[in-house]
Amino acid sequence: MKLPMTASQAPHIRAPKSTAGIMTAVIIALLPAAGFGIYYFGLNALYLILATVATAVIAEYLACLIGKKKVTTGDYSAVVTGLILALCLPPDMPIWIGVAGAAFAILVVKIPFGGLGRNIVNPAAAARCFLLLSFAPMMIARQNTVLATSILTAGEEGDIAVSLLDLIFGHLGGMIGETSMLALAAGVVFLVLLGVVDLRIPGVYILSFLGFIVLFTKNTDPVYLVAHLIGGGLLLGAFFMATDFVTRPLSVAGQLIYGLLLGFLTAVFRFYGSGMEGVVFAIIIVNFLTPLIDKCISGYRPQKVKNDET
Amino acid sequence: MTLRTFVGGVLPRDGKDLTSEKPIKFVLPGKELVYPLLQHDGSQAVPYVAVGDKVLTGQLIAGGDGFFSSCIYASVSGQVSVIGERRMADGEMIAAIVVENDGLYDEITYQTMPPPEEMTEAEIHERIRDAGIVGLGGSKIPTHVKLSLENPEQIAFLIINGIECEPYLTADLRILLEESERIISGINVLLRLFPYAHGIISITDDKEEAITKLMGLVEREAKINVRVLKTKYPQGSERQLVFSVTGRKLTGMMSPPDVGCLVLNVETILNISRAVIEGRNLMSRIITVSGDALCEPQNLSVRLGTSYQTLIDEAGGLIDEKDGSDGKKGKNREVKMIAGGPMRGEIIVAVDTPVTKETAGFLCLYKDEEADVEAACIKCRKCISVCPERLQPLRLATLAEKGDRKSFLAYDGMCCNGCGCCSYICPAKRHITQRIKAFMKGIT
Repeated sequence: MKLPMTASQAPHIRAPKSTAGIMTAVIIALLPAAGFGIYYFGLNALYLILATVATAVIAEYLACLIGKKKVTTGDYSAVVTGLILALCLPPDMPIWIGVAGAAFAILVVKIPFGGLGRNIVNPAAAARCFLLLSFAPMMIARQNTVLATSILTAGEEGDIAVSLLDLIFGHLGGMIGETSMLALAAGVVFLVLLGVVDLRIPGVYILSFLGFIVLFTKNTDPVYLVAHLIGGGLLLGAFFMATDFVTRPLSVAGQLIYGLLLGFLTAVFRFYGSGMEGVVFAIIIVNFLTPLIDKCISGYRPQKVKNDET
Repeated sequence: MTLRTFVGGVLPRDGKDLTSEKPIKFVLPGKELVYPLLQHDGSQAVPYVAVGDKVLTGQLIAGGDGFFSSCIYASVSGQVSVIGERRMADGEMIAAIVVENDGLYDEITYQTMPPPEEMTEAEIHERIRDAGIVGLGGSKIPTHVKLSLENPEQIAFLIINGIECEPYLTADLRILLEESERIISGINVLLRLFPYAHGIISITDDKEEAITKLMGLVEREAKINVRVLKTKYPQGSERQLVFSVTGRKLTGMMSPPDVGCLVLNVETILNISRAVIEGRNLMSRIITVSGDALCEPQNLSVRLGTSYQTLIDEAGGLIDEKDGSDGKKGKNREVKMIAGGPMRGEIIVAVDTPVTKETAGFLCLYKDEEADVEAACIKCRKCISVCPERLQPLRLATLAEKGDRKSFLAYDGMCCNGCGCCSYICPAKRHITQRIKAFMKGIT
């Protein structure tokens, strides 16, 4: 034997899938929505997406360097965070606000808690909340002009001068990546086919949300309900924020409860609240509940441990 | 028809095409054969020979010490040169008998056996014990211990494990193809010990040729069936196999006899057949020598005590050690050598060590650079969905790391069968199985 030999513990072979691979799949799944946003809203949307993604990656790189940690930008999770955040920004937003949001997501929500896998809330959702609260006039002023949102706030009146097709294809105002149901659906189908996400959480979330909305408003007009799905980022939130591995519960039962809580809170915020940003607030609140759900439904069976000397 | 199977599991690249068509080939050992006195779980055997003694092929050189032990036979003729500690493949030092091979392979005269129908149950038990047979599928338990049940009537299913779910390994497949008559006669011998048992040869659906052959053979047998199961890892793991075949679930620390099952590997059955019908003792193993780093992977019938280097030479050597066709030297990639399959096998640290009764395979793979770098757990849940024991590997690994014994037990950590699915599937390449196994060792 002249060759160098190496040692390891079983199993000695590993599946080809890696964290970076999963993140790349999510990025690809988000591209149709991003592409549609750029096509529909123009170049500022592109600049905003690029700036937000770049900020997220650079912030993570620098934070790892300064914290003397292993640089983790290679797993592309920062790209995903930046991209999701960019997709829920208004297309004519000043770029520096996007940069501030991305920096907040990485430097406040993700890295201080220990980086990927240890953050308590979804960084993109938290950053969107941060922007909403800090730059409310800018986010809200732009949103008020948004058709879909006005439908939401119109509440029970139900007379909507927009066709179902327009809603599905996304020919209306809104955030960069949230308007086209079709583009988002394409990404979701891709992820489900790859087996990266399953439809348990988004399915329960969206169905329970629609259920609670119907319960609250007694309005079953399909256009009204689809407007609820499209306006205000429910789809993006349900498929790309609520399914975040790190911040969702582990058990199947826990995930169902998680989806149900999300649907309930979003409906409450939409109906009783200001009517716009129910999704991210609901996600953040339920994210905080995830450890509790995990603890209650954990498969933990208290056992009598034989008393030993140690 | 949907095939019966269990929940969870993985489908790794199986690499069986390297050797599945290659017939079993006999290998002559090198100059020196090493017989460690402990080749199974239990107590060490006691040497019956002294340095300088002449031995013949098939001669008893060490006897079992007590019930939980096993006999060792010389696999060549020659002279005992050393009795003392020798390094084993895993790096451990174990007392061993070393025999200098004289190259003549003079055999002892074997006793002629009466037909098995005329033997009493006690005689069959005794013969299996004297033949030095241990669980060759990886259980490492002396077979006579496994067969000695207080209540042999409780066994309803004698399951023959022909699954071989570990990637690369094809030895059991070759045995099923080439020794199918002996397998059937071996099962019939065992069915005499368990009056109410039904023999079931379990096999996965990827082994079509063997299925056809066995189906034809069992047509004449009233008490033997072939059961085809879905190809999946770890289908051949005892608990999963019992569930897939019978639908009976093993929970906690239960063993197959608790649900009326007894699982034996095909190579074990083959050797039981040889021992009881032909009076032969366990002197060789059929081993798949394979892996991407070898020139000519083979299925080899290897005399116990042969060194791994002989196996490498027999398989054409390592690709990187040969000159390439363009005259350039090989790439000198790091090679990982494994005794057993890639999912559960143990690493080999030196190749001048002997093949033992425990050696279930021999693989030479290239080092997987990526698998060495652990990233953070992103709680993707993949380990939970593949765990055949329905555990939460990511949580157990964390608890093992923390040393939280109480919680580890409460999450049923001791039910881990070490199949390695969680580590295999983990996208962050975390060493989940490794941590859990190490912690379990500390508890027991």
